Amino acid sequence: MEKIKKNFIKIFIILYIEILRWWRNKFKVFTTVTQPFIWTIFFGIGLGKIIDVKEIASILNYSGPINYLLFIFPGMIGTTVIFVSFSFGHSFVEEKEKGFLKPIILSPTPTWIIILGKILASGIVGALQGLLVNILSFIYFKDVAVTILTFPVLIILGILSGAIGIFFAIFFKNIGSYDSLLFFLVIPAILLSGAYFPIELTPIWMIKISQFNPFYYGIEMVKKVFFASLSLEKDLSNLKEILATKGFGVLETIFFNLFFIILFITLISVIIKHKSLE
Amino acid sequence: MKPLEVKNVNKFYNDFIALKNINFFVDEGEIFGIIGPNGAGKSTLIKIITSAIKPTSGKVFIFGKDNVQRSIVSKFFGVVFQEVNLDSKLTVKENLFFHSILYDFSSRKANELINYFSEKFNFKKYLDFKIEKISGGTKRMVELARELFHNPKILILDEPTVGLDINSRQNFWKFVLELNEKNKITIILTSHHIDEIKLCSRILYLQNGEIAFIGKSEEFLTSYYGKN
Repeated sequence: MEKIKKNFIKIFIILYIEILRWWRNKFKVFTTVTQPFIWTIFFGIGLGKIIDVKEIASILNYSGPINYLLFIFPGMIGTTVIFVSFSFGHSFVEEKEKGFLKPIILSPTPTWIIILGKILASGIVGALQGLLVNILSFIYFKDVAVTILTFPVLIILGILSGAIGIFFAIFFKNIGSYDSLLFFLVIPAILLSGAYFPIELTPIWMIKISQFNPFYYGIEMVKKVFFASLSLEKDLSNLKEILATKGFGVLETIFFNLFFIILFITLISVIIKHKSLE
Repeated sequence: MKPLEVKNVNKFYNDFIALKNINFFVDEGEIFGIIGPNGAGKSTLIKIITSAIKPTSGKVFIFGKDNVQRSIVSKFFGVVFQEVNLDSKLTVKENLFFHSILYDFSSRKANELINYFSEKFNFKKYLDFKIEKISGGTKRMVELARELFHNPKILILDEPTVGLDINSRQNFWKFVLELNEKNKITIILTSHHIDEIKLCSRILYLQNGEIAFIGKSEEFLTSYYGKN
């Protein structure tokens, strides 16, 4: 029991240190928050002129008023979370490169606790930045339910993205190589996640690929919760009804996200048993 | 039981032999030097001893315990590495506090240790400074203090005074030698400085990943550097 308590304290301290480190990097906080705003404006207004939003609404099974800006809002929030949480892999490589990780790894604290603390921190920080973008949706839709109900799934998406980021970080020794993953892997995965256009409108081979893309399930989860809560129309008594009619979709996507989280944490645990984190 | 026993250690990186057939032990309370030219395998050996990397074959025992049991053996040693590895985004106090928690200390005990060591090693006034704001010499003292928090029986120093000025080096060694004399801490040292090598009771000289010499430091200094 004492050991479990100590492990919890260690996870909490690692989480606290990670959040502190993130908060002190003000420029990074500023750019990751403003970037989605800029994207929202350019994508939302630019692409909104050429994309058929009615078709999108029918795919989403959403009957309320819709425009392209509304469609990409949850995608944009999800993208923010993915970028921020995945960047914890960057910090992990940086810690390896600068040697900060050495004394941590050599301490008696099991490596899985260190990794778990970092993954949880990535989830919380990612979700907090997602929340900042989500506040914009509150200003736009005047619907607090959307902001509140989306937050827990943002944490799940953040943990998933952080786990994927740290999984890849294990294999890299310098930041430059790791960052090339962003263009090689993360941006294509985001494009195939349905954040900016519905995957259902793409060719069948792209749909097939997206089924193996963890971010697809992450973005789907955010979109489903976002539109479900938007449909509450400021009346939370409808929640049961919404979950009854659309609940299977929400729960299904949460299940897939949890599946990928467990998969990546298991892979990390197996790899760090056989591979040095040096 | 010996503080350190290294048995038949080999380390290969594909075709490159980093370490070949390394066998030695270190006695309690001695200052043991691991020296050799750049690329001889000193840092690799230190990493294997501290279990930061695994050997291709062979075993390392710390007080008779296989060093693969990291959670047990890591409490026996403290390591000051060649490069500073304090987190530059955190303050001195935060770095030390974080380290204490990882070594199972309560927050009350951690604060006690921070106060005690910061006074002893003269960096109390820098506790709330970020690491990036303090001098190289102070960083070294902070690292040394950090590695002593858990009262280790072995102190591993991997070229610890690289980049330090003469005063900082003297200051650093004053504390290390005091620890060796008063607390009987075993010191394992890698260095290129002849005056630091002279402090060692025995020397292991590595060349191209193999042991070229092991024995008393006087013998080594006579054979390799002449009597002066």
